[in-house]
Amino acid sequence: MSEQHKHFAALAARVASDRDKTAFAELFDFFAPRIKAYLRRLGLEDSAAEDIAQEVMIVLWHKANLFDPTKSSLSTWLFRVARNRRIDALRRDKSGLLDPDEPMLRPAESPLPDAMMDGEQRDARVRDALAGLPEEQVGLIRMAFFLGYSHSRIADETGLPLGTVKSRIRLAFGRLRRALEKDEQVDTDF
Amino acid sequence: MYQGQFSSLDALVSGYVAGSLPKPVHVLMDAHLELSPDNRAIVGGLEVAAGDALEHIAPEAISGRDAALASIFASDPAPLSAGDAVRRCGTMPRALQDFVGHTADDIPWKTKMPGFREFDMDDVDGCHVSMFWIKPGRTVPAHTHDGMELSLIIQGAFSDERGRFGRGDISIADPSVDHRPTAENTVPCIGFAVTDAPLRLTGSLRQRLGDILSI
Repeated sequence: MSEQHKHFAALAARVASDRDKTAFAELFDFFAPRIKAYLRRLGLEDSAAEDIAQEVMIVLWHKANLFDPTKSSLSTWLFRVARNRRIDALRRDKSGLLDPDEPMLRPAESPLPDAMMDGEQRDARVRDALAGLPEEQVGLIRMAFFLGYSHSRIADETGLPLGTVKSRIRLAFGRLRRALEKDEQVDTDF
Repeated sequence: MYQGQFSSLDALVSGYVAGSLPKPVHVLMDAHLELSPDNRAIVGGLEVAAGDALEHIAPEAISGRDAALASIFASDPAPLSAGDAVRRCGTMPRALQDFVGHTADDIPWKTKMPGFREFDMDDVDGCHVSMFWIKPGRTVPAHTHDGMELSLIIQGAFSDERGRFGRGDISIADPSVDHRPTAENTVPCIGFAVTDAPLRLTGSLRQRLGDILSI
């Protein structure tokens, strides 16, 4: 785990156990402006982006005890909360209420998608695999999984032919899948 | 079984991680991840990378930062409490049950033809949404759809010209697929289906499934 991730995890633990406002303010100052920037990149208006960033930080203030640093980084946990809040905000009326059925806010009954591989091992593999990909592929798949662009939108944004976009993304996904699924392949070889 | 469908599944996976899928397709992916390990590693991996990307994005200042913090500290945790306990069944993935509002044993089926039942949930987010039930051993007559049909099998299995689809598997059928699924003999085949809603009902803003799936 990187020093920064350790530091964020320690701050989240202080929020969860001591309701530590100083620790929370540090997390707010780092994450709220970045969550806002992420939502703005997805096309939200300034005030809507701030509203959702605020909802995400409210979740962190009250539910920091549900964050498990052995399963994911705080950044990934907050990314998932922000993503899910945005999906619901786009669909819901403007009642301003948080959704009590938010899946992130329930204790898991079955293993969560990220619980299969040891968190740190998985994180290291993802970063190694991404670092080993040509930058031209990483940039394209980041548009797909971070900004949610379709292949045709990516072709428009980059000026690349659609066929080139598709083949580079297919290559990048193939390498990522192989890197992440190594253990399973070893197991099935027996 | 996913041979030849990698690019469509990858598009579903990226759209799921990014949160850009229509709600019913997002639910279908949530339920798939609950039931099947096939895409858990890649989804978890991309979420790691998305968290890293979030750390490295250029921040945009929050207006009224002190007031925002004060309102968080004064906020009421009550709206975040889990709702009343819901009865669960072993068949229905919880993401799907929360969306459909039924367990597998209390879905209000309508018989469409002998051996084939449907629960039609109408249009959501530009997609037509339904659950289907196929009697063991029954072949559903060939049917056409204008666009893509995504289905997630939650009980039993069906086979068609592409192979076998069992619990947790996603079938991605485009209009060219000779879609005459036959349910296996053991138990009824139950699934969740998402297709493009008729064009007249969808706004121009909504991507068609074929575009989302990059087909």
